[in-house]
Amino acid sequence: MNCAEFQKSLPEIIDGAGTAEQDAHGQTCPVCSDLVRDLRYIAEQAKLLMPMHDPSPRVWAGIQTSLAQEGLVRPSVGRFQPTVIPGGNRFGTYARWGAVAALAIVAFWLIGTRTPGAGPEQPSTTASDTAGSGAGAMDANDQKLLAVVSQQAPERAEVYKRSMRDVNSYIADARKSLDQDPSDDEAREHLLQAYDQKAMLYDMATSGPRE
Amino acid sequence: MTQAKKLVAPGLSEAEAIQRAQRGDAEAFEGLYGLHKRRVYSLCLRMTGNTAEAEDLTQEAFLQLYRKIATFRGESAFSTWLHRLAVNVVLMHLRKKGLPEVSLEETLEPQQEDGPKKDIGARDNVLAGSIDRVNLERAIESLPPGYRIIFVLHDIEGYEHNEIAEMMGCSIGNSKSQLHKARMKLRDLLKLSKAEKAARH
Ligand SMILES: [Zn+2]
Repeated sequence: MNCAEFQKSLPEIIDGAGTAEQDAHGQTCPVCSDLVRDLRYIAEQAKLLMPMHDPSPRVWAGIQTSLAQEGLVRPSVGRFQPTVIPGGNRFGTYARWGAVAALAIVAFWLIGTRTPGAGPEQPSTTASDTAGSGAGAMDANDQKLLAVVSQQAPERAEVYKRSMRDVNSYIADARKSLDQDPSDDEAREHLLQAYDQKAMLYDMATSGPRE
Repeated sequence: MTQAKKLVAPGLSEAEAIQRAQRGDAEAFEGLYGLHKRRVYSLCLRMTGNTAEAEDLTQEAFLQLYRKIATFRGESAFSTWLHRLAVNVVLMHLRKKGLPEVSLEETLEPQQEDGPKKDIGARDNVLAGSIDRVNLERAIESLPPGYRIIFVLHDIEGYEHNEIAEMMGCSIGNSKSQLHKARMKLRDLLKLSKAEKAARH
């Protein structure tokens, strides 16, 4: 048995299904024994790999939107709880700004639900309302959500559009800080919180208690 | 860890959450999402090597879960069932994308570059003890997609070759051979990164 013959049967040998002759070569040939040891080691280490990362809140928001769009979860029946990051006071002024934004979203939403058909306040400026560019730019999921809102509650669409842009700006700001300093834990918390607010916005759009 | 002991929320076991979700309870479904999102996302991320794709596929997997959960009969563990569903979602996506590497039958046979010649001769230092998680994750990420998928399914997720063959629509022999090539390629990558690291110090 030579190295080439031995290595031809490596998959079986690694699995412990080698012949006596192959085992003998594996024990005496340093090159082949290193190879076997490495491959077994890689397989062992792979088994120890744990799932490390959570998906961004955007994923859950997208799930809610799609379920609502398909009519699988009806606003008056299904009720998703928005995720809340605890300990909001740790994050200073930036977080307070974020909390204000969240409250504003809720307020807009309430105005929207309480005046069905009448249409809530109109936006004072329309120049910045084109959702396409800037820090508050919307992605495909956002557009989809707005389409759902426009369909189900047209009078609230404008409010959502504005809130969406606010939250997207918040995300963009936090992301910028984090890009500048990846070790900035505070910025990371802000980003998470911003995503949470976005999830909350999606939540309200898809599960608001409407009559 | 048994299914009955896993808690989705205080006072709500996974088994109860599954039953409630089967009756269309959205909150129970959210609880199941919370419990399984990390593993499903990691699976998608490792199979695709791309964050945006992995997020989309995680979303799609849970949407399918919501639509199909009523058909879950408890013949296997729920997590096993869910992960199989997620793997199918990823494979379907990769097929749609038309990645040639996914069609194993084509890429397998002609490649013999991983043959024995390479390793005969110089005895390199062995890898044992030198791999950390980050290195390994990075090396897996840089594997060609066809190798990566088999490696993730077999060595990380613990699927058997016959299961992989069924999911991928290839032969068991192909699955085995692809896995071997993946490990050989990983060995090269890890040795390279080890050598680079040594050169820096
Ligand atoms: Zn040898």
